[in-house]
Amino acid sequence: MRVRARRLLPRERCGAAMDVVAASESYDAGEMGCGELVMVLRTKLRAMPGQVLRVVARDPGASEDIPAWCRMTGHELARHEPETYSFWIRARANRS
Amino acid sequence: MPGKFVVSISVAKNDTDKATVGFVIANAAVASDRETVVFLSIEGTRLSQRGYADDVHEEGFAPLQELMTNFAAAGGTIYVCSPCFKKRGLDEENLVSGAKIVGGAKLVEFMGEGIPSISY
Repeated sequence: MRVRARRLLPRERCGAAMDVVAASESYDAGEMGCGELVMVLRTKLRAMPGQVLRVVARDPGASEDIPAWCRMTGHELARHEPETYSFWIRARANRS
Repeated sequence: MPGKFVVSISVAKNDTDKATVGFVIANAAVASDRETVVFLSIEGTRLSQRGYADDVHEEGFAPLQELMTNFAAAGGTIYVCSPCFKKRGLDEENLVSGAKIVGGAKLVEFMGEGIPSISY
């Protein structure tokens, strides 16, 4: 199912962030967090290079953890919507 | 001399001596201009709650609450292990100053390569 985010308000834009982030897939992680969550994300994102996964993660550490994990792994955090616990992550291209 | 430093504390009132010394060392690090993180895990996550440490005062040391307040005021950061925090049913709305709930990836990113750490 494709999920289309609302248009960003000007104050929400950051650098080259896209106005609209269309997700190829959605994943509701519920309360999962920490190492368990990033292992699931690793598996899912490896299977969809270049595409966007919308993740809903309600773990209280996710807002710190997912951006940090994206910075380390090369996946692009295209958008974060704290009010819905949502993260739009564009999977990096597969490494040869 | 800039740099990072991590102090890992896994105890609270089950070992107030260790918890206190952990924050003493953390204060030394932040006072030495290190970008310092205290990582609270396991029982140590209880220290993240306002009021919890108010009655902890080890002989020969400053009260734990004072050590924690000084650490945050000096720019220190406290990472609180998310699954440990949830397991104990602690309150996200009652965090001490400087504390944030994180998962393991946040700590891994901070530590990067070759960052010194000490565990209590």
